[in-house]
Amino acid sequence: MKSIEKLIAGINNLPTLPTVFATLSEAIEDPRVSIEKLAEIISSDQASAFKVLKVANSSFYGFRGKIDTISQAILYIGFNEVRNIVFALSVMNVFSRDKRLPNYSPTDLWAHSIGVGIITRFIGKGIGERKVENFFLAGILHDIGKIILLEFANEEYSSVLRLVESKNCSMVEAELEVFGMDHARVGQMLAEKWKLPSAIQKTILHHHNGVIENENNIIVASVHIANIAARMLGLGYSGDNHFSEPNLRAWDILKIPPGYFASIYKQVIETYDHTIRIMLVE
Amino acid sequence: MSRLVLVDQIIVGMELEQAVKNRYGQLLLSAQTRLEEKHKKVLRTWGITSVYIKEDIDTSIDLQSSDSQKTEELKQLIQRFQWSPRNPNEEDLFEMVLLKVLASNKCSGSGNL
Repeated sequence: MKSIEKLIAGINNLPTLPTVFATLSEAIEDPRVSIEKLAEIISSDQASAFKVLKVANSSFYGFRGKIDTISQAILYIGFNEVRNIVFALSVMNVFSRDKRLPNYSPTDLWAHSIGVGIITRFIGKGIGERKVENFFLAGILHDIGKIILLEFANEEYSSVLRLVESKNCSMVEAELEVFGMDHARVGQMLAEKWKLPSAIQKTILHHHNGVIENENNIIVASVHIANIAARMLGLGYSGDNHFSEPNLRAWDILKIPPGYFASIYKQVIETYDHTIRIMLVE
Repeated sequence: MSRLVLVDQIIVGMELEQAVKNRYGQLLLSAQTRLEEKHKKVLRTWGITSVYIKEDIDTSIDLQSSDSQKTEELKQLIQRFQWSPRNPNEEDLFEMVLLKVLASNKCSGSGNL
């Protein structure tokens, strides 16, 4: 079977949606659903519930150490935030962490993605966005296509890495040569299958360019900048050492206050260390 | 404070924040080990790609660093990333990375990220 066919077959065979997330999404459709009921669904997976509490108590949300129960987490940081943390944890569990290649592993890639999620959310806050719950998730999922490629086309992905080395090209160029499509498109196919919000689908597809024609898409621009920032800071590893310039139009869309990045440096590093410990190690 | 560092990016002299065990739970390196080249070899042999390194985070470090040191580090960053800041936002982005480089230098006595 050709690698691209194998890939598509792999995506088609993935679970439709991580179970807890699907049950949660169904429950929220019911206008009479109580916080206790939602908390009960999340708590049905104890390992996830424990991690959700730890993430909710990180300095990221400003309630450090004050949240003891899932009900409190929903009340303090909001249902959508809690649901997105559950979702991110569930997605990480869908894929194996064993599909490593020399100098490149899913764990390094998830660490990079968590770094991007954290910076994306900080950008959202910095530009005064009121609803930032999708920012963290969009950042975490932006490279999901690479995870799929590692999972279902592990051998071919070694060729991509070799091409990056030998031709000194970007991963996108190497992926196009080997698979005929890049990880952004592969990731978007999964997002489509999982019926993720259109904001997340667009981010996965357009995070390299950072802008979409005729749209003022703040999440796409934020993930684009956060991806570059995380690579420059060396948070995790996304497979190559190419540091592309930001798209100038992304800066125009975001209008981030000058000096903002230097002012959040300490918080970014602290939150990153705390979050990878919870999501990847413990 | 600690941060996850790829084995390839370990600088000799860095200090392990957490013990490293192999897939069978056997201890390979204890916490607080000062890493040497031979340790990197052990980690690679066991397929370990990253470890937790102790790191001091001090945001006031930029005030203590001389302008010439910052200018030199900035030149190196521009060379490494192969692009230069074009607007105040990009200068700010480089400033953030510079804070990290200077913090790493303070921790390890080296200039790499």
